Amino acid sequence: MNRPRLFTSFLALASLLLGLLILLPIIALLLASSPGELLELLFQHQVQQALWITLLSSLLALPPIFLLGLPAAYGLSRFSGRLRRLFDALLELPMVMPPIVAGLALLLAFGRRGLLGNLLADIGLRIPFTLLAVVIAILFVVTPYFVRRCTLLFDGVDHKLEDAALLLGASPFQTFTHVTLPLVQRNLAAEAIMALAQGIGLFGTVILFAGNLRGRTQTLSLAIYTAFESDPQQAFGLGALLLLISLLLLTAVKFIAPQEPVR
Amino acid sequence: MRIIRLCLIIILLPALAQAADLSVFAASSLSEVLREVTQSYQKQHPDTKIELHFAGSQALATQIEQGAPADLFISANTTVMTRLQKSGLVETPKLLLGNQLVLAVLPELAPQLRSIKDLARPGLLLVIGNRQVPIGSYTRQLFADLAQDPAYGSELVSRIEANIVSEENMVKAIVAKLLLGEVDAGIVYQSDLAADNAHQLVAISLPARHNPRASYPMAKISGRRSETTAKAEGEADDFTAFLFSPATQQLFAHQGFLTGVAP
Repeated sequence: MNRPRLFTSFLALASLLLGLLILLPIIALLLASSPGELLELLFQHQVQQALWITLLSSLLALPPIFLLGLPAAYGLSRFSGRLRRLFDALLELPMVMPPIVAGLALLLAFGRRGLLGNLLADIGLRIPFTLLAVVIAILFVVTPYFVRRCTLLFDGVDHKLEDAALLLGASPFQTFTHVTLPLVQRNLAAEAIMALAQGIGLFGTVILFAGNLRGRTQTLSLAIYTAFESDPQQAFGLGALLLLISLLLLTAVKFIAPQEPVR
Repeated sequence: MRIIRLCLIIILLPALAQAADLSVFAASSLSEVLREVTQSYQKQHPDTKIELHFAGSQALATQIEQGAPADLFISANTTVMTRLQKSGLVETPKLLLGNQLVLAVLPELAPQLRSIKDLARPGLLLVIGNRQVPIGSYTRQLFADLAQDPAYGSELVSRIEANIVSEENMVKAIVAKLLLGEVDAGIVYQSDLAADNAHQLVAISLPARHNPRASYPMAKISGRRSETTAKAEGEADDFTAFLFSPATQQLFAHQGFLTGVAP
């Protein structure tokens, strides 16, 4: 009888330590600047610009994330076999890629000396150092996570409901839009916010692929990096601001996503 | 159990390896040349373990303020050094080197870009340093000076500034973006183009009377005495003397630095 209790206390201790490891730096960051300082930051033009670029790029990335990610996730959930496993592995690649490597890879693909460089130059499109580059970076990093989570979501939808719709003469597309999607719509809204939160925090990939220019490609994370060079106090404040935004989004996710499973 | 032991070893290893005798914090523009200098120093002092730590001067200063274990600090500007000196973190600095700005361009564009005036061409992609870091503040100083000079004028300078696509925190990042071929021109230190990999870039000199002179002061970190032994203290002095020796100064000059300059 003694062993299980020992094990339980081990679990509790490990969780407690992990909790402290996560909470301590967060509290330290929030304590580093006063609410007044944070408010003052919000009124600085440079901060407003960075905030705008951050939100704009993450919002602009959402439609393509859904457009590419949803069909992929639904396909992964409904089909199995070697092709699915291959695609699954492909999705994992951006997840395990260090952000800097992802940035370099994007430059080598879409840069003007990159694989598509000549093609893009012919249509007069320059991607690096533009807002489009920020959006592509977000798309590259965030979509695989989005697909992963949505696949699980679709896995949870009761197949019998879809089968019933098909039996009643609905086309597979109608079944998807009229049966499957409505079942998971609240979860999808939560996933959208989750993708937003992930895009907002991007750094390494963005600074390499999109550069760092105030008002054009400088997101809040890049502004933190820039501020750290001259004014660490401001970097702490901006960090707290970014953290608060993320917390807000996470709370929204918890609020929107239904507590019970879909089925 | 074996896994726990392995984890412990992995955690403790870096701590053991950190036992360097001398830890030098230096501006990232010095990385190549200081590695070379340290190598020849270690030939004479094989027992001394020197750890070189390179980053932007501002970042290094912040790290020193936060208690990073440095023995010597070489900054790429005097402002940062003065800040540390005022807070009593460093002893009286000595001027080690000088440097000046140069326009670096892609070899294929060299025939078209012959002077700073050509940077105003529409559509040119220019990358400079962030105004918070030394290279960027020198560049802004250069721009301000050019704007004052009727031979160039503020209109030309604002056209040049409109071509800036990214502001980097480290001068090496400017060179890297040029070497990747993603930008057309950058403003860097003369010494940056002496590095082996940067030989393919073409250096175009800037108007001498407007070219700001960068200086690299170095100082011993104070307050380290209590924790370090007299031996480490002597090693810091030895290494400093080696940096100022004629042979080393010649090496610096060969790498594009200005030596023997008055502050």
